[in-house]
Amino acid sequence: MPAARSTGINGRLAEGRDLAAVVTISHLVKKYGAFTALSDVSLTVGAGEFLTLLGPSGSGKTTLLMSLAGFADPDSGSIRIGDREIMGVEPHKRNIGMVFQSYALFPHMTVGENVAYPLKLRGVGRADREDRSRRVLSAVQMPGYENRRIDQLSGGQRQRVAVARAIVFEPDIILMDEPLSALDKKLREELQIELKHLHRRLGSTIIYVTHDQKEALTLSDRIAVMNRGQIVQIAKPQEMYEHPASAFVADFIGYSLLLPIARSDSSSVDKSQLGALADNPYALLVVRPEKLDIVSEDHRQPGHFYFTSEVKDVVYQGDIVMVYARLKSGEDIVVRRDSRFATLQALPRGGSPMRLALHQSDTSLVTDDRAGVAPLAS
Amino acid sequence: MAIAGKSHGVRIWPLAAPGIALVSFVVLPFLWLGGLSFIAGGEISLANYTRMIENSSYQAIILRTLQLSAIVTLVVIVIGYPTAYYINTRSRIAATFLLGCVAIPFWTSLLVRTYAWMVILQRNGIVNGWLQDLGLIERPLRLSNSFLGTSVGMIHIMLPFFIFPLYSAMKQIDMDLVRAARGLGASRTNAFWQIFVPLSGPGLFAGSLLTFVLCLGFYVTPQLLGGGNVTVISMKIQENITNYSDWGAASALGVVLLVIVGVLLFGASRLGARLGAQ
Ligand SMILES: Nc1ncnc2c1ncn2[C@@H]1O[C@H](COP(=O)(O)OP(=O)(O)OP(=O)(O)O)[C@@H](O)[C@H]1O
Ligand SMILES: [Mg+2]
Repeated sequence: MPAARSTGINGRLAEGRDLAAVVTISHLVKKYGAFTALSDVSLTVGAGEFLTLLGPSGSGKTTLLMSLAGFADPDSGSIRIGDREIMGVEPHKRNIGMVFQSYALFPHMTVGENVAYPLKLRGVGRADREDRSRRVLSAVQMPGYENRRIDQLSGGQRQRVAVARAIVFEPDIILMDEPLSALDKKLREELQIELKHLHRRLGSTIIYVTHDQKEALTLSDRIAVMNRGQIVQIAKPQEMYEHPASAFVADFIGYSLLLPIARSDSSSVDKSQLGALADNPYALLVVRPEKLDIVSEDHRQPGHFYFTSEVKDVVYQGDIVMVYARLKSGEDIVVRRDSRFATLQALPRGGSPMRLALHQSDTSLVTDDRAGVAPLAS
Repeated sequence: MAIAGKSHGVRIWPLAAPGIALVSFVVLPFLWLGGLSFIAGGEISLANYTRMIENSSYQAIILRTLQLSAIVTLVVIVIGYPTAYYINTRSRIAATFLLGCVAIPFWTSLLVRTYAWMVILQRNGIVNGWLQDLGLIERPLRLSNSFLGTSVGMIHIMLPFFIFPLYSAMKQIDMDLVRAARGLGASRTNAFWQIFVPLSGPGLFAGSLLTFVLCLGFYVTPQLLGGGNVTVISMKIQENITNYSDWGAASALGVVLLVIVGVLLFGASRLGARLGAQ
């Protein structure tokens, strides 16, 4: 993140990065009958931060967002924006911008009227209103669309208008619930970059929901992974991917093989170079396909794990090649390679043995939190 | 293309049946009615129409019909809109139950309900009894045999016709839109008037139009609850036929009623198209 920020589009200076917490959520609990949608969620979001809530369906992401916006009524806990407690405050008095998954643009208003609506509610004069809507619409690459009807817009354009409407009144924070999920992959990737730039320019605090892990990695300053109404890990994207805190996170973000390290026999996993590193029976080794190296039989260097496997299948996918193999201990393992000619030439064929190396910096040991196994005592 | 052409020729025949039905049950009777209205005293003349212009009692009847329909429609909107809104905010089970309650009178005979209102509203009926017991009035009010009684009966009958289309329109409204408005700074009241009501507009419009048009043709209720004090077009038509056997005059009134409805529907569709295009 660059330290200096440019002037916000509405003339607000967003210089530097204020590290003060804008949003402080503590011990938030939300129950639907006997079902606990949020159980003791605590989270701090810094000013200007882009924080993503990531998690499987039903993990409570929308519920958390709705609690922030004031549409869900948590049973206990506290939500503060700056110094102000907003639990129990009506939604329209929270000064939060929100982009809905369905965009929720008003069909009986033009694009311009939609964007100007929050300003109108705040008693901004007509000329000022039109001026600000125009500027915000150009900021989201939609200049000159003021008089269009909503049903004349494409999905991507609607998404942009929804963003414009959510930022025009300079809210304290902006919430977005899967704003790109209705769009096709190419447009989604384009808009991800646009959102990222917009966030840089505005310096606004954004809390974003997605269940697309790649989107989360691309956009966020930090990611909070949720599962069953709890935040299981909060970290920067790289940290989250490289050092997942648990098997659940490792499994959810990116593809990984989780190898029970203590139980795997020495014939398939050579731990000789690792000393006594975690002989914990509950530890799992995170093995990502792109972190594996195919090496010769005599390769032996400090800090590496080695695997002995037999190649099952080599699948060419255009930009990459996936090599599917089986460890002696029975687990399936996948290696990802680029598809350059030289790499393809050197790949082992199906049925042949393959020795794999994994540097300890490219992996981590996680506790198995997936099936009620006792936690790793650290 | 030969196959398509052949199947086209085969497929057109089933359409002939509704076509014939339409001609024989709608177009022909309409032409007959229109024709009859130009016959007075066995001759072709405009007498049936000139009478309506010259005779002020006819104009009074037409105006009264419009007035009654307008008042009933207005009250139906005032009662029906909040009812539909309330049902729309309930859970599915509660909504089904409430809609059932709205539908029960709908399935009860119009005649039965009109007689029931006669009993309720009569001089020494329940309403007058209560009002007297409460000491609010000394002598019984004239609730039946009046414009008021007629309106009450018609409002009761028309409510389901209004609530059903309106409710189904409200059900289509994406409540995220109302939520979005609240998030953008709209109070509950603002979000209701600026977002929910405009979005329910088509349903409100359709329900009101249906109510008004059906009111124009009411006969039994004004006859029984009006007690001779409320004369509407349909009653004049009936009078012309049974008392005077004047089919010409009756047809002319029928044509006038039809023209009023036609103009209304035409205006409504134009307005609807304008609103839709906005
Ligand atoms: N109004 C409600 N009544 C009962 N249960 C609810 C209600 N809203 C949400 N839930 C439950 O709470 C849990 C969390 O829902 P939530 O919508 O927050 O999930 P999510 O993480 O946003 O999922 P998704 O990725 O599918 O959008 C789900 O199991 C859901 O069934
Ligand atoms: Mg959700």
